[in-house]
Amino acid sequence: MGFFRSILRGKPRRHKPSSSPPPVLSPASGQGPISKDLESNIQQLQARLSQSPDLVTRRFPIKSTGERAALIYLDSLSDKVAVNHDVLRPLMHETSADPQIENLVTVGRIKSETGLGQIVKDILQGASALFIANKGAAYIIDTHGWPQRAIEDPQLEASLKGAHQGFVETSSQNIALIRRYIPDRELKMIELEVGARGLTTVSILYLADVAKPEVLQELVDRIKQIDIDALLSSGELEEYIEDNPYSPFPQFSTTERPDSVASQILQGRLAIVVDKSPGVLIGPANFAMFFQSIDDYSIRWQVSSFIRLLRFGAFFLTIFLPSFYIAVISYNFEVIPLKLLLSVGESRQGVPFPPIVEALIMELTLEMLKEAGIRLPAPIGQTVGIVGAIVIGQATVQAGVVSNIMVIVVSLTALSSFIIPNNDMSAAIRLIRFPMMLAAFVYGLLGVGIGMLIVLGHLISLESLGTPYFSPFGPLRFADLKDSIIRLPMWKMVKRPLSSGAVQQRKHGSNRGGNR
Amino acid sequence: MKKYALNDITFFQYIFMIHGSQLGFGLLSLPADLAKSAGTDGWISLLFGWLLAILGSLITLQVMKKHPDLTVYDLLPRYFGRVLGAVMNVCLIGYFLLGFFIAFSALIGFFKVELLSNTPNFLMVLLFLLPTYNLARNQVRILGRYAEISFWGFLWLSLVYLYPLKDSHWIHMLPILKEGWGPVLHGIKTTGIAFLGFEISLVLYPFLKHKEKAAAGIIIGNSITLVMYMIVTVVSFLFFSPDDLLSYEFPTLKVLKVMEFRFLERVEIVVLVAYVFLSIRVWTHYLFAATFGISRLLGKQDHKLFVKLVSIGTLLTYIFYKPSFHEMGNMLGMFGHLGWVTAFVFPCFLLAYTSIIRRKEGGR
Repeated sequence: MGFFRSILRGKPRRHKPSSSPPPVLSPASGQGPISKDLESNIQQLQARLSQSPDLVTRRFPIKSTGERAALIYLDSLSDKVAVNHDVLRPLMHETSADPQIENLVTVGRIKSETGLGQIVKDILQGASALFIANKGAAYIIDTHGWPQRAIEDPQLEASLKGAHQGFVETSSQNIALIRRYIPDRELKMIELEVGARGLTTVSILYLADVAKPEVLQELVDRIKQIDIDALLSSGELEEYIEDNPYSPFPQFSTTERPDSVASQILQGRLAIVVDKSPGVLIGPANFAMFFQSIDDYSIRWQVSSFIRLLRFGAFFLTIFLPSFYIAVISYNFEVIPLKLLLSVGESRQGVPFPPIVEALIMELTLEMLKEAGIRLPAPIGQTVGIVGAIVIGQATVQAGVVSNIMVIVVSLTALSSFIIPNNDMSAAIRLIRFPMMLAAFVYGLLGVGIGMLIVLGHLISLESLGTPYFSPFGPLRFADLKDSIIRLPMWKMVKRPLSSGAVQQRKHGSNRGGNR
Repeated sequence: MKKYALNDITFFQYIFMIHGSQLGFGLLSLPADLAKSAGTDGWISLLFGWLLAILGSLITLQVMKKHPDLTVYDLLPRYFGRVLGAVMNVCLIGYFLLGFFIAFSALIGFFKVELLSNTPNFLMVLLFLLPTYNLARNQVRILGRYAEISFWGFLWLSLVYLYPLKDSHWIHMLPILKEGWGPVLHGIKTTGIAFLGFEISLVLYPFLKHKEKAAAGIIIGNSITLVMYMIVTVVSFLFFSPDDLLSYEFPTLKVLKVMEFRFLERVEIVVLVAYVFLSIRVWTHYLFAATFGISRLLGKQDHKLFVKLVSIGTLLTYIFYKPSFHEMGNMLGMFGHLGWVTAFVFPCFLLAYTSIIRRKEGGR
C-alpha cells in the first residue's frame, strides 16, 4: 500500500509511516478491568481524576433492586437536566418489574464498559458512569452537555441567496447540518480519533457510491498516521495531511457553510468534519474551487460567469499589478505609451524613493491595515478605517512620500485580493506578490514573466490527495471547464467533475431534453 | 510488469511534448537562416525538413514499439549487453545534456542581448534555472501538463503574427523556385535543426497511455511545429524585402515592431516574455531526458537529485565560461549535426540491428 501511495503521489511521504504510533494515554494502558467492589472502584476513579473539583460522585441505592450504586460524572461537562431527570430520578424513585438498568434509565445511548481507562476517557468527554455494587462493569450513560454556540449565519462567507446556517464547534451538529442536505443512505461516515491528549473526533463524510475509494483510503491513512498531542482546529489537521507542505497554496478548501459542503460531497469529494472546529475541510481540492462561491449557482449563469472571470482576473491583478508597475517604471518603460509614461513621471516627480521601496512601503502598509482590521476589537476597529484612509491616500501623496499612481496600484491590489471568495487563497496570492515585486525589481518584465512561470509550474505540479490540483487547466479537461473560469447553466453540467475523481460520473439527467 | 504505470501521459500531452521539444531557438532565427541559405523559397525547405522529421520519428517509433514498456535507456543494455549498453546510454545522456546546455545558453544569450544587457551572466542563469528546476524535477506527467497548458495558453501568439500581414507583399514569394532546387535543398540543413527535438520520444514513448496512437501523435506534433514555423517564416518573408531580411538576426521578433496599441507600445517585449514560456519546454525536456537517464543508469528511483546537480553545475559553468554570441551560433550548428546523428542515424541503426537480431533468433 505504501508503495502504491508513493507512486500515486510520485514522491515519498514526508511523515514516516510508523507501524504503530506509541500511545501516550491509551484506553487500557497499565490498568485492567474494574473490580466488583464498589468502593474500591470509586476510589480508583477518584484517584485518577484527582484535583477535579467538578467531579461529582453520587452514591444511592437503586430502588427497584436495592443494590448500592454510584453515579460519577463531571459536573461541568454534563447536561444536568439529563442526569437528574433521566438517570438519577428513575433509578432512585421508580420501581419497575424489569430491574434491568438499560430499561430504567431513559437515555438513548448507554453501554456497558469494564476497562477503567476507557471509563475515565468517557467521563472526561461528558458521559456519566454508573457503578453498581458486585458488578464487574460500569454503565456509561451519554449525558454530555457542554457549552456551545447557537447556529448562526456564517460570518466569514456571506452569501446573498444561500442558506443562513453556518457550522458550529460541535461536530454532531455539523454532521446534522450536512445530513439535512443529503438524506441519502449512501452518505457514509468514517470516524477517527486524533490526538493522544485532545482526542478530537475527525469524521470523513462522503458518498460511498460516488467518491473514489483510493482517494478515501489515502485520506484515512494520512489521518491515521498523525501522532500529536491535541488537534485544536481543522487548519492544523490540514497541515498534517496535505500533499505539499511547502506550498503557499491551500490544498484543502475550508468552509463554514453546510450548503457548500453538501454540494462538494455531491460532486464526489470528501468532507472532513473536525470536532471543536467550525471549519470543515474539503478535499481533494483543485485550484478552480477556490474561486467558486455557493452564490454562483443561484444567480443567472451569465452573471455568474462574468463574476468568475472577474475573480480570475483579480487573481492575476493581485499578483502581478505591483510587480508590473515596478518593472515598467524601473526597466521597461518603452512598453507603455508615451502619454501615460509622462503622467506617471509627473506623478513620481518629487518622490525620493525608487519604485521598489515605494511599492514595498505601500503594500506592507496595506497588509498591516488588513491584519489590524481582523484582530482589533470592534469598538476600536473603526479607527483602522480612518487611519488607513490617511496612510493609503491623498495625505501620503501630498507629503511627497509616494506617487499618486502607486496609491491607485495599491488600492487596486487590495480590492482585487478581496474579491477572491476563499480567504486562504487570497492570503496566498497576496504573499506571492512580494517575491514577484523583488523579481520585477531585479529583472524587469522578464522577471515578472519568469515569476509567473514558476507559479504556473508550481501549480501544475501540486496535487491534492493524489489528484491533480490545477485540474481543469493543468491536465486540461475540457468537460470540467464548464464550471471553472465560467459557469455554464446547471443543466449543462450533467457529469461530475473529473477532478474529484468521482467513480459515478453522471450527476443528473439533461433537464432540458424533450420538446420544450 | 508495467514499469511506468501511474505516470502516463495522455495523447494530447504526448503531442504537445513532442511539439514543445522542437519549438525552441529556431523560432527566432529560422526566417533569417532560411533566407540566407534558400532565399524566399525557404518555406519549401521547411516542408522537406518536416518530412524528414516525420520519417525519423516514425523510425524511432518502430524501434520503441518492440518493447512498449521500456525507455531507450532500458532498451540499450538489453540489446547490447550491460557494458556496451551503459556506454551508449552515457553517450545518449551526454547528448541530451548538451542539448539542454545549448538550448539554455542560446536563450540566455538572446535575452541578454534583447532585454537585459547589463545584468551579470550568472544572475541571468539563476533566473532561468529556477523555473527549469521547478519543472524538470517532476515526473513526466507534470511536464506533459505543462506542455499542454503552455500550448493552449500561448496560442494567441500565433494570432499576433497575423497583424503584420496588413503590410505584406506577396510579390516577395514570386517566382517560386527562382534559383532552382539547389538552395532549397541547401536549406534543409537549417530546417532539420529546427525540427530536432522529436528524439525525445525515445524516452517518452513508454509513458504514453494509448500506444496505438503514438504514430498519429508524433505526426501531429511535428505538424504543429511546422505550422508555427511556417507562420513566422512566411510572415517574415512577406513583410521584409528579401534583401532587408538578411540584415536582421531575429526577424521573427522585428516583424512585431510595427505593432503599436493605444495602451501598449512595443508589443514585441510582451511577446518576448511570453516566448520564455514556450522555449523553456525545450531545455526542460532535454534536462529531464538526461537526468532520467542518469537515474536509470545508476538504478535510482528519483531523478530530482540529478536535476539539482546539473542545475548547480550549469550555474558554476557560467561563472567561469561566458560563451559569446558567435560561439553560441557555432555550438548550435554543431549540435544540429549531432542531433541528426541521434535522431535519425541512431534509430535507423537500432531498427536494423534489432531486426537482424530478431531474424537470427527466429532462425534458431
